[in-house]
Amino acid sequence: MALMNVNPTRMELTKLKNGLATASRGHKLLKDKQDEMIRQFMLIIRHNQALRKEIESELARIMKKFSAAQLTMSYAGLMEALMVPSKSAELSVKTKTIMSIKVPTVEFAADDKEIDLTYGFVFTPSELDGAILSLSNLLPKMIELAQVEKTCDMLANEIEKTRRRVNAIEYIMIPDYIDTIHYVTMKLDDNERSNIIRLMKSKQIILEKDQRSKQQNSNLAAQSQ
Amino acid sequence: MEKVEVAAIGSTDEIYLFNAVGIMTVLVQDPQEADKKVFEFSQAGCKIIYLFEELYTMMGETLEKYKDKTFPIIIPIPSQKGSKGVGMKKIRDNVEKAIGMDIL
Repeated sequence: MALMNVNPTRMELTKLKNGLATASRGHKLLKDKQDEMIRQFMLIIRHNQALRKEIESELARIMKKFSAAQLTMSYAGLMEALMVPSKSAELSVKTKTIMSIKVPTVEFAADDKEIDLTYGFVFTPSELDGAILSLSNLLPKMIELAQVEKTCDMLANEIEKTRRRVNAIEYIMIPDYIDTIHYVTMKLDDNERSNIIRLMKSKQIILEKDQRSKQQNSNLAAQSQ
Repeated sequence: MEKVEVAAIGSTDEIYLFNAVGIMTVLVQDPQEADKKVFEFSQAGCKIIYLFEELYTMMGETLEKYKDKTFPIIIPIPSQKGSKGVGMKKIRDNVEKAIGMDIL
């Protein structure tokens, strides 16, 4: 409820009315954008939650196997076994646009053949093989999780921003415009009324003057006779 | 630094497990070092960085820097000590941010 700092003139009134129309249109568009983003977000977030749950439980299992392997091996031996990767994780990365937000799309580019273990099996326990093979099977899902989680992050941030904008327009800009337009209209109407009254008053004074001079004239005529 | 697409940063030895499947791994002692590594990886064009939850919770400032960028994607993963629910909390926070209440 704050009036804008404008002069109460017809030109300002026209400007304000145009401004109000633009603000209302902008508000509708932003609201639509927000609704669509929330819809997209809801589709992704459930997938994100399921994926995260699955990966966390699977990783816990893998870590347990790895700890078992750690217990039966020397530190140096373990490091030696793990130092040489059997393949390098390669990605094909693109971006796609959801409601004008650039979100990443990441695909695991490696062929889905099982990886070859690069160490000798003599000095390594089977738990280590199990851990590495499970992890390599889990890798595509972990990469998908990264993509989904980033998308959710970006959507959530953008939704928050849009909501602030929508609220600012709905609860501040539009009411301000309406109040100012009301104020300018009242002021203009008031001016109009004072103008009319002034005219009426002037007319009355002129008429009275006329009447008085007529009366004087007729008095003078009567005296001369 | 050579071309790295996926990296993992951890504070304990388990991080080397990721090395075996082709993820570039580094072991760090503290969050400051991890912050430096994240910067190096992002400069090298790294796309995804996995961080152990213990480090993730202590690196708020670093994460804030990369929040608006599409890449690198930095996400928490549980370490050997098990999940502390950092990832799930992040999901719930996102829902709350987007919708206004936690509906999950």
